[in-house]
Amino acid sequence: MAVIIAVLYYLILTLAVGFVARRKIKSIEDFNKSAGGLGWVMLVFCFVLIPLGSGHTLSLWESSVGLGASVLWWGIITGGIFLPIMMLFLGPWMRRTGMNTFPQVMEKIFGPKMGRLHAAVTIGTWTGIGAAETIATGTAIYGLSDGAIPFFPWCIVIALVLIGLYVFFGGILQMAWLNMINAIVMIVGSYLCLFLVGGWLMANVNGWEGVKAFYDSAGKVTFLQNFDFSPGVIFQIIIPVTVLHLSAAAVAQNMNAPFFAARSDADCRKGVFIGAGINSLASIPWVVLALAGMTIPALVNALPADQVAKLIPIKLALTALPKPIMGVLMICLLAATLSTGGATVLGNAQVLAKDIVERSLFPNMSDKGKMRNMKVCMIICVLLFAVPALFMPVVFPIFLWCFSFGIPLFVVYIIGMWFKISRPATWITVIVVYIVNFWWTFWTPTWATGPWGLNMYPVTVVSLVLGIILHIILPGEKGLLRQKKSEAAVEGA
Amino acid sequence: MQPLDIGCAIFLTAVMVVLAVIGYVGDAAQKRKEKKD
Repeated sequence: MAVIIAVLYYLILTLAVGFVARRKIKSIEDFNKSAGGLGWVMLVFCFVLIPLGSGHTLSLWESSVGLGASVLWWGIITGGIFLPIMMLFLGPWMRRTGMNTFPQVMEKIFGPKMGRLHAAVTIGTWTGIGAAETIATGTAIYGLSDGAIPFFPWCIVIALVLIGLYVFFGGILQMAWLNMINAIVMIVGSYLCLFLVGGWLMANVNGWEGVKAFYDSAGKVTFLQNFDFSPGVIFQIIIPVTVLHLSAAAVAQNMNAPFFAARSDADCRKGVFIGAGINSLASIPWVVLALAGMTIPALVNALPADQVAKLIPIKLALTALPKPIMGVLMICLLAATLSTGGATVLGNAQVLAKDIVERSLFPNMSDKGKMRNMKVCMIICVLLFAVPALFMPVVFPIFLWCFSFGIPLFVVYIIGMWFKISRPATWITVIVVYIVNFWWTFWTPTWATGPWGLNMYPVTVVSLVLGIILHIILPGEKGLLRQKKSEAAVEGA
Repeated sequence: MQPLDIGCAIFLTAVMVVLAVIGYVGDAAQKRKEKKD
């Protein structure tokens, strides 16, 4: 019942919104940048759900089972730091280049070869991350059906269809409208469900006091506190979420797509407080459900041991909530994963269509041809998600490995924008860091223990050290935005 | 950390390599065509 409500809701909503958006789309430019450009309200809702996917929900509640409520720093940092930096600075800076995709921005700064590298890396790495979102969506559908729908392949297939439909008909405009509806539904619905689960907890396990007593008696007195800075929280949550979002996500096409489509720089900045608030608040209900669910032995014992952390909030909700309300909760969960998955399909397809097929293979396409090309590229990108999603057993290492490809690109991008453009320094930095990423991922040195065993840490350090030193030593020209400032000053004089 | 699934990594790497090769070869072909014209 609940799974049918959630899936039908998304099928009807995406098709209805897609149909309306399609009527407004007259050209490929409209499809990618929305007809007339996104105003600030549309932009903030469009953007806020893109970095709010399984990282805020499924992965986070799974981590909370081992690390406690401090995992909520994920949402606090994404909403409180990444979103404002993107909306106030990085988005508007990127718009000053006048380009349409991020690989084009890299091409403008560092030449065509870097543009092509960025295009290939963006699609490859975000396919991995999109597959992780697909798995999260599939897990929600599997949990919601109480195991009645087989995870492989059917839950994954349903997830892929829903993700593809999210952007297929109306592009960025369809995504912006859907995200606006889903952001509101997600916040209202998930907190309402949390409130109702609270009532069930009061009636059955002595409410929050019972939850607290469970962790106290287990010797985990800090488990329900947000300021328990254990090494696990610092090295697996706080530092990765800060570094990966502020570097790799900042140079990704899917994260930047709303800014390319914004009506003006002012529209990028205006909704920053609303965006930060929604993004930060979104993860709390899921973590609270997981922490409460783990204190009820009857629920924990009803799940396979290796699936407890992954399915406990869904099990608690299935037990505590009436079926239609459970459907609402799953709509909220799918809002997070589908929006990120849909944005990733759109971002990857934009890069594949514009920067590979159109730019390198068929530069003289008509507008109709470009639209057809875009649709074909979207289908290809969804199918690319399917391969790892159907065979990938673990998600976290894929996240780290994929995100790590973006870290050196961000370092050289910021240097190339604001300090110096040196192509040799850029290429050496990127190539050396990619070697380090492969080395650490597949042949981790025996002496690299603790946090240094994670590829993300050496990749970040080498990117910064090599990027900065090489750009100081090797010759080059002024950074792109410095050049633009100088030109504006000359024109003004 | 759990080990990265090697099959998945190979697939994603192959996607990146194939797309980069298509991009570079396509660019080179465009340049040659422009020179001819």
